Amino acid sequence: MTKKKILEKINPTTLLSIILIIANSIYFIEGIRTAPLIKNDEIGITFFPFFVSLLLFITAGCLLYTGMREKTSTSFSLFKISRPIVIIVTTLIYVAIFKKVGYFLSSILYVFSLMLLFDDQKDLKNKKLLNIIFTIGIVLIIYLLYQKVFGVRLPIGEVFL
Amino acid sequence: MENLTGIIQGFVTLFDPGVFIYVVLGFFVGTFFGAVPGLTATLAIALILPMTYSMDIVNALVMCMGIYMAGMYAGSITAITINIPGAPSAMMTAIEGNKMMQKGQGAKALGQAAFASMIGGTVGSILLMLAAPLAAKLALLIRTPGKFSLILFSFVVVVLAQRKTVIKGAIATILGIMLATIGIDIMRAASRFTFGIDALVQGIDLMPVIIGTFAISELLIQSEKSSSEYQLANKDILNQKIKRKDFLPSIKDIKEIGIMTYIKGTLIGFFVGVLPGAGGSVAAFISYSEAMRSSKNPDKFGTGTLEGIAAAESANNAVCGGAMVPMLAFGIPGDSVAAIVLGVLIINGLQPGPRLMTTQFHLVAPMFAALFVSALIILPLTLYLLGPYFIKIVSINRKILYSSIALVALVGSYVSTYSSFQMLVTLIIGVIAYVLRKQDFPTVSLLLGFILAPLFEKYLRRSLYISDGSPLIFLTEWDSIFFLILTAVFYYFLAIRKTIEVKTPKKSN
Repeated sequence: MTKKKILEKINPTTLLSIILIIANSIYFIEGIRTAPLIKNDEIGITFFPFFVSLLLFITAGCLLYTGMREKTSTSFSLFKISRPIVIIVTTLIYVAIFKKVGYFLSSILYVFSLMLLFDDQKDLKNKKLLNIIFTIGIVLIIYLLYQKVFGVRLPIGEVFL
Repeated sequence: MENLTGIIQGFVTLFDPGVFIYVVLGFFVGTFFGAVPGLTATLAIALILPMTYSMDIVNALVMCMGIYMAGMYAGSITAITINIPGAPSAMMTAIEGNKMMQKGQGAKALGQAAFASMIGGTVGSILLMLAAPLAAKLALLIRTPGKFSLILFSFVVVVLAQRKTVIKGAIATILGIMLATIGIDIMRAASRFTFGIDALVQGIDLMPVIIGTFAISELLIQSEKSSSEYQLANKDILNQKIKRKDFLPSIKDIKEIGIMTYIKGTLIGFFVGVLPGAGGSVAAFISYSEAMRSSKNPDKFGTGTLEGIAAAESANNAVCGGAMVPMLAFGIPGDSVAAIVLGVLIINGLQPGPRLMTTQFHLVAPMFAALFVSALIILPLTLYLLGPYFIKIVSINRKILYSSIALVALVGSYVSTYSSFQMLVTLIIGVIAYVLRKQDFPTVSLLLGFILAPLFEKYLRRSLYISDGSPLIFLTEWDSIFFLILTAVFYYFLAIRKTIEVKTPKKSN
């Protein structure tokens, strides 16, 4: 079976409910490991989360049942989710370098990358200069807004200190 | 009398030029976010939230009210002109308005939407001024077990309000509650669910949850669309020509619609707003359905009728006043915008509830005044002066728009604690919200769960402490019994009766 066919077979509802059950199991175990529900006749810190976790097991179970009963499975469109994934990775890199290289350099790189990602037209080459101008403009306006208007200190970059 | 003086004082504060400029600014921001498809007033307030740290609290609150009122109305502009509701609350307006646009009666539809929004918003804010102080007095009578049952009632309504996706609504709410349990326990100095990560000991801040849920998830959703799809919609927008006089409704039309349609729409909107989790789209839907049920010409609905627009628009703008009542009196937000306004209050060190309404009424009263003035004066004035240009403004280049939103969102989440860890949390919550939205989970339930969970747990544990661990305390205290009965009544009407109604036609068939 090709990768595409396997992906088409996956029902997102079923997949999501399985992920929820796994995540909830981790939460549940962490709760049990942390403290007893009741200690010395007093309600412990994991008493409330314990019942919340039980509720999630029940509701995620219901969702799993619904997902398994669904006849038509909504297939994933790899094209559609590829751009969000790239944006997530780009944002992750931005977060990682934000304090190290400072607001200006990190933000210019980030905004410019987003510009390219949101601009899927053919005549991209002709727009490079325009994208650079827009990028610098956006970064500068947001800097002025936070730093000058609201008096918020933005990082200048650990590597430049 | 005391409250009346307070409200008058609120108007005096509002008309200070230094304060008033914030309402006007908020109104423009709200109009832009409400009109651009995909952007909402909720997103606008979420992005502004970090800036409120360094703003005067009154300025921040009146600005939020301007955004709220404008955002509710502005969705109708693109809903009518190009059949794309700028905000979910304009969905019913699109059904009727765009049909009228196609018939060459777009001007009438735009004028009616503006007029009905003005009526709904103005009367809704008057009702807020009357109801909020009364609700605050009632709130003082509620004791700990009653407070627990009240939040339980809110959770049940939030989940049941999702209609077709009750299970998904419940899961989103529970996920919000779980996120809130991370960090130091609310009653003891002990940490939980930190998974060995030191940065999680302080818990998850409200700011990353709000920004992640509304801004980052929206960015990811929008990134799925290709530029050509977006440009096609923009082409439609630019082809529309709107004149200044289009925003003025005729007296004849108002008479034909009937004053009762506006009154009913406003009352429905206000009371739906009071219910947690319902919001503008539910109000517009109920009001529209009621207008169709009681109309002399129900068969005209769906073909382009002013009555439908009047019902939907008066209701969704009246929600603004209604949603503020439980938020201010009980600390329970009526919809997503109210939830973020609650965040503005909490971030600035104010605890919503009856004490806020009695001891710090001078901070709240300008909010009431701002809602009223936004609906009665700024809305018609802005539309008359700038209405023809709004349609051009919404056709902004999307790469500039979403790149700016991403930067404001992430830098905003950084400034709350000066920590890039909060930026990472924002991204993670954004991704979770994106996955949930893709599967039709209501993310507003996640936010409400997160906001209300600490109080819910505190009241539960305190009540059990008072009763030596007996849960019967919830069935012996009158206030708790009242809210439990109310929960049962809502459960009957929203879940059981609805199921019976759905099943009955099948049997007869």
